[in-house]
Amino acid sequence: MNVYIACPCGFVTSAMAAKLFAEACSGQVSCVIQHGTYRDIPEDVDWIIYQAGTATINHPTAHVRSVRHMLSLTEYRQLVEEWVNVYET
Amino acid sequence: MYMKHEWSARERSILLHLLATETSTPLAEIAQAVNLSERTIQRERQLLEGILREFELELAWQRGHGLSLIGRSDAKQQLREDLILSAEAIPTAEDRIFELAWRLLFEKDTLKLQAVAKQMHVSPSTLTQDLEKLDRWFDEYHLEVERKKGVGARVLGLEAEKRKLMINALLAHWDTLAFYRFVRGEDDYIPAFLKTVPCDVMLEALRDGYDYLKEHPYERMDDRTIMRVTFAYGVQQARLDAGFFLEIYTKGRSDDYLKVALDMETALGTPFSMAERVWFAEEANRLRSLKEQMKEDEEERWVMQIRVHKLIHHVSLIHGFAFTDDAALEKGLLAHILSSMNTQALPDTDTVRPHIDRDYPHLRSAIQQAADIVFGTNTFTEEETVFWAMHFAAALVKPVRRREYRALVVCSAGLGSSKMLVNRVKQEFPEMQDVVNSSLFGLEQHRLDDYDVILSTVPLPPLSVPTLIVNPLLTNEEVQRVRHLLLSLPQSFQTKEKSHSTMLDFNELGALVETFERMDRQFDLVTLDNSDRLEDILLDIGTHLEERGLVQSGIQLSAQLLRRHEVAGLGIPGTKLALFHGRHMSIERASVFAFDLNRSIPLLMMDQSTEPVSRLLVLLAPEEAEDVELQFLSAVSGSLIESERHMNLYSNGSKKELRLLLHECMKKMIQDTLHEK
Repeated sequence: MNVYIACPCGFVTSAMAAKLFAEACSGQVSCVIQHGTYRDIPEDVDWIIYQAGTATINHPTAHVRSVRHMLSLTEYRQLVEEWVNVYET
Repeated sequence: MYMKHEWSARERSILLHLLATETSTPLAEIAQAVNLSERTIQRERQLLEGILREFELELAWQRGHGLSLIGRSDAKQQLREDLILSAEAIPTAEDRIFELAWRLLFEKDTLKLQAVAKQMHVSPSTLTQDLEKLDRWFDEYHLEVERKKGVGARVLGLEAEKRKLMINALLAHWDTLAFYRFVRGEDDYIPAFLKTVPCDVMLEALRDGYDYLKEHPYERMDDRTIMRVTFAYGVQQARLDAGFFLEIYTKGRSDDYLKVALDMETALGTPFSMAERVWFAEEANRLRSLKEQMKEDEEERWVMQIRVHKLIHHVSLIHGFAFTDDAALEKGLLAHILSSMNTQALPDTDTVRPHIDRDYPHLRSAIQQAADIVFGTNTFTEEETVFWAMHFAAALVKPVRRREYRALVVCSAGLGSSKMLVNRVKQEFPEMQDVVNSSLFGLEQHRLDDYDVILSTVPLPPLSVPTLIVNPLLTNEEVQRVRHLLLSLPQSFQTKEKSHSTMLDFNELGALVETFERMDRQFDLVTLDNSDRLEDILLDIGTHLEERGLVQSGIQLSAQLLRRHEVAGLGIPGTKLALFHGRHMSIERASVFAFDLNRSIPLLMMDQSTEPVSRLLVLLAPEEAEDVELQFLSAVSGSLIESERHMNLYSNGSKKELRLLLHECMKKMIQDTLHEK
C-alpha cells in the first residue's frame, strides 16, 4: 500500500505524521509512506491523509482521509486497523 | 447441525490435502504439498483432532505411515464444503461494484452518491471510478446510469433488462454450494455484495421459490436451472415489492412455462399481472438446455470471467496449489470454455485422459469438484474437464521462480534470543533465503533495504522495512502473522537486486555536504527579550532572519508564520517547544533556527490544547527548495518525535546539543546516500 501524508509545507507536520504512521503500521500492514505538500501528491498512491479542515484534496484513485490530529498515534492506529479490516484480511 | 468453525489457511490446506487422498499420507508429503514444516503439521494435528470430532471424523496418525482422515463419506463431504465455503473472500473491489449496481437499481429517484460513498466506506472518487466500470457492464443490457451533478445518479432502461442483469449478477456470484446452504436455512451464505444492501424480500422469496421447485420438479432440472428459476422468482418479488413493475412484455411466450408460472403463483399466493407471468415463463424457458443457457451467459463475457476466476480459486483450495496468480491460466481457460460452448462435437479425449489420470489424479478430481461448485453439478462432464486439467497441469509444470525472502532478526543483545528466533524462523519458513541476526545496537550496520522483513524481540524505532515484534520462541500465532505479512508484501518491498555499483557519486555527496555545511553554519540559538504577544515575537524573528539574509522580508515571513499558527497549533504537546515553519517565496534559503523566549507564552499545541512555550524552533524553506533541503528539514522534524530524549533535547538543549541533533540527521542522510538507498 502506498500512503501519502500531506501538509501545507510538506516537511514538518507531515514528516512527523509519517513517522507516527509508520509506527502505527508496524506489524499490521506493510506500506510505503511518503509525505509532502498538498500540491505534490503522486499519482500512484492508495491512501492520502491530511489535516481535517485545511484543504480539499481530490484524487482520481486514492482513498482520501482527513484526521482530527496529525500527531495522534492513536488515531493512526485506528485508521490502520480500519484499513486492515476492510482491505487486508 | 455441526458447529461452524473458523478455519485458518493452514488448517484448510492440510485438511483439503488429506481429503483428496484415501490412504495414509506421510507427513513429509503433506509438508511439501502445503508448504509447511513437518513439525508444524504435527502440532496442527493435535489441534485438529478435537475440531474434527465435531464433524464426526477422526484424524488417525500412524508412525511410519502418516495421517489419514477416517469417517463416513457424507461427513467428509460436509467437511470439504465447510472448508471451501469458509475460504470465500471478504468483499472485493468487484463486490463493491455489484453492491453499487444493486443500490442504483433499487433507487426510485436519484441515488445520492456522497451518501452512498459514506455507507460503503469508500471515497467519492472511488465511487466515481466504480461507476465508470458499471457503465460498461450496464451497456450490455442497454441500461444507462444518468448522473446529475450535485443531485446523484439513476438508472435509465427497461425493467426486463434490469432484472436480467440482476439475475446474472446473482448467478455469477452465488456458488451452487453456498446457494444450497442458504436455501436450506443458513443465513451466512449469501454473496458478499448482498450483505450490506436491504434485500430481505428477495432472500425470503428465494427460499420460498426453492421450496416450491424442490417439491415440483417439472422436468429435468439441474442445479443451475433451479438456481436461475429461483433467482428469477426472487428478483421478481423484490422488484414488485419495491414498486418496479414491468412494461408491457411482448416477447414470444412459452405455454409450458406459463403453467409453471401459474402454478407457482397459486402455490405461493402471489398473483402476477400477465406481463409478469409472461416474463417469468420466458426466464424459466430460457433454461431448457444447459448448453443454450451457457451460451446465453457467454454473451456476457464478464459473467463467465467471474466464474472462471472462481473456478481457479476453488481448484487452488481443493488441490492445495495457488493457481490464482496465473493470469495466463485464467485467460486460456476462459477462451477454452467460451469456444467449447459453440462446439457441438467434443474432441476425442481418449488419448489425453490416461496421461492426465496417471500424472494428475488429484487435480482431475479437484477440477471436477470445483466445476460442480461453480457451474452446478454435471454442467460440465468429465469429458470436458479433462481438457481443463491440461490447462491446470500446464500451470503446475511451468517453471515458477519461487519468491525468496530475507529476514533480519533483532534482539537486544543479538545473542541468545535472536539465535533462537533465527532457528525458529528457518524451521517455519524454508522459503527464507537469508535469516540474519543482529543486536539492537548493531542495527545501523545493516542495510535494511536488503531485507523483506524484520522480526524483533524488542520494540524498534519506526523503520522503512515491515517489522514485527515476536517472541523468541515464535509462537504458532506469530508464525501466521509473519506468513500473512510476507504474503502481503507489496511490490515495492520486494527485495531489490543488490547493486554492484561501488563508485561514489561525488556530485551528489558534494551537494549534500555543501548544503549541510551551510545550514550548520547558519544555525543559531538566539534568546529574545520578548513581549507576551506572538505577533511581536514573530516580527522580531522575521527581522532577525532578514538581517541574516535568509529572508527577503521579515514582515512577510512573520505574517506567514502567524497564519500557519492560526490554521493549526504548532506547539509540541508535552514540551515547551513550538515548531514554526514556512515555505514561501520570500524565503531565500532553507534553514533551521532556534529562538528562546525569556518569558514563556501560552501557545496552541498540535493537539489543540494550550501550553506555555519557551522555545521556538523555526524551519524554513523557499518555494523552490531543493530535494535535499526538504529531506533534511523532514528528517529534523521526524527526529524531534523519535524519542523522549530527543524531545527533551530539542526543547531544552544548549546550542551545541541542538547542533549535535542536526548533525545526527545529516549523518543518517549521508549514510543513506552511501548505501545508495
